[in-house]
Amino acid sequence: MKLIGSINHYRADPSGWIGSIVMFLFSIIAIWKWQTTGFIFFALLTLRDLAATWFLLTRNPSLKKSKPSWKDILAYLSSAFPFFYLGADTPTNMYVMVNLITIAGFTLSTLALIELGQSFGVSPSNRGVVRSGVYRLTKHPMYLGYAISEIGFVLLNPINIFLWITSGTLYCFRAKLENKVLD
Amino acid sequence: MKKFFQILTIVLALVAVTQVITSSPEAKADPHSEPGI
Repeated sequence: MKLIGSINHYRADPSGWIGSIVMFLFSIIAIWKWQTTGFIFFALLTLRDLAATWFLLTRNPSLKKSKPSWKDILAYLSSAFPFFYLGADTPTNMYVMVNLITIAGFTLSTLALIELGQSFGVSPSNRGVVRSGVYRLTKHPMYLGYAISEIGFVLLNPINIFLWITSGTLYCFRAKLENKVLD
Repeated sequence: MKKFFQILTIVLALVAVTQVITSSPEAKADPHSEPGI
């Protein structure tokens, strides 16, 4: 009952429901990627998306939020970026290193998302500043984690460097917007 | 719920690392089975 209550309590947050559905769809894509490629780090991405699905459903109301705009679409596009990277053209001898880097990055990102908990949102908004857990180490551990994990993709296929630069630019942009909303 | 997700993440990360380190060389790279990541 408590579980249902925590969802219904925030039913006045339609963007939370929409975000939750989007993140749930991402989790299905991550499972599909995990099954078709065999890369186990997609299991961590699945967990990230399922945790995001839950926290978006039960999140705190926003104290300060920018109006819905193209920035929200960019934020979701940025969240989906790990799915866009290309695979290896030739067998890679860096399999272990690629996987370890990617696992480390996604673990950091997932722990950051979980630490945000009910304060989590894909688009920038103020639901309370979090300074515990991995947020004690850096201001934007989630983006740092993604940037680290995506280095693994670049090692897998150097062409991915262009996607990594684009993705990194989007993370910097999102971090800047968040700083603006949280200050 | 937060604690549950945290424990699950750590366990999954440890399982993933163990699997990567102990996996066989043949399973380490099969890029032709899937064009993308």
